[in-house]
Amino acid sequence: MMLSGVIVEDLQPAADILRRYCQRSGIIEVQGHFLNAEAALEHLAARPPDLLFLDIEMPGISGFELLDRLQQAPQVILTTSKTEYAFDAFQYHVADYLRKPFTYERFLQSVQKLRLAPREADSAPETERIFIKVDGRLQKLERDEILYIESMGDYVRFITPEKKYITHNTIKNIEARVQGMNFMKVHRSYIVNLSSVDDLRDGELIVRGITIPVSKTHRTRVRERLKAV
Amino acid sequence: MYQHMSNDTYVFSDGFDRLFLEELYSGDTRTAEEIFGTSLAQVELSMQLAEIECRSEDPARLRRVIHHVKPLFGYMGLLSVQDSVQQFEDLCGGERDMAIVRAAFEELRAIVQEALLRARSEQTKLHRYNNRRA
Repeated sequence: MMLSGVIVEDLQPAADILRRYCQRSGIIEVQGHFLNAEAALEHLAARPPDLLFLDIEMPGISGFELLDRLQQAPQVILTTSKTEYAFDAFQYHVADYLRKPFTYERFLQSVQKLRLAPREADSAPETERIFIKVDGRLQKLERDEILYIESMGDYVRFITPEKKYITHNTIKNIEARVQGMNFMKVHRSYIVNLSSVDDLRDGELIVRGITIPVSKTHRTRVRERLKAV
Repeated sequence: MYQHMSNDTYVFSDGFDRLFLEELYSGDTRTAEEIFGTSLAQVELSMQLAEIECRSEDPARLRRVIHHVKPLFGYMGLLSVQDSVQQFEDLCGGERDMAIVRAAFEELRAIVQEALLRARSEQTKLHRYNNRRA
């Protein structure tokens, strides 16, 4: 599934690069680009995108004023050439804050911070997904297809029934990302999708025939969580 | 003379932040040429507007114009020029004496003019490189 995106940006080169980054990511389809916030308002109300790339200082109303006027704001990534707006950005609960000009790597990091279910309130929990960077692209993984996640030092491996995906990240970061998605860290190197657990033995979980160690510190909590599933 | 590596990878000229440009464009020299072109056009337009605003008595209006110039130098890998623009923008944000602002603008204008020359030259170099590969 592609995410729909809208760019509100008065600097043409900035919008051009951003559009290319979206295309290159393979997961964001740009619905439109608007040179000022007023021009974007009608479109955003009629066709709310999943994601809004929003400049702050523009002719006419600012990016923040645009957010104030939207009945339902999509997920927002602010794009600005100033850092002074960080506090305001925090208050508006934006997904990230990109300082122009930014590289593709920085763009990808930002997209990875998105809350994973577009328009969260409308999405059932089972539609939750995670995007991970694999070979320079973002790979979408549905929550239910991930069996477990394994640390490999500076890398993390996502195991699905079909394939294994390796991404440059830490298990700690991933643990934070999958919070609330029915995953649980059971060992310093393993996060398990509790829905995929077939068996619980002393100090081990069995997931599709694969044995996952459970550390002593996690055992009681694992038992509790599995009963609740 | 053009600087190319043995495998014909484009190398940005001295004075440009090569590492940043390589990260920004990832070897896509056509996009780089296009962005250099649109950035140059926008800087030239904004500097004309800035000159008009410089004659006014309101540094805030000048700051708004200059604010848009700043990242454009970043897209052209001229990060030190971007910093100079930032300093001027900060000055406009805090200084009420337009005589001081105008003096600083003259200094900035000289920096920008020199940077535009270099950026135009780089755009020409990119254009020739892209044509040769077409």
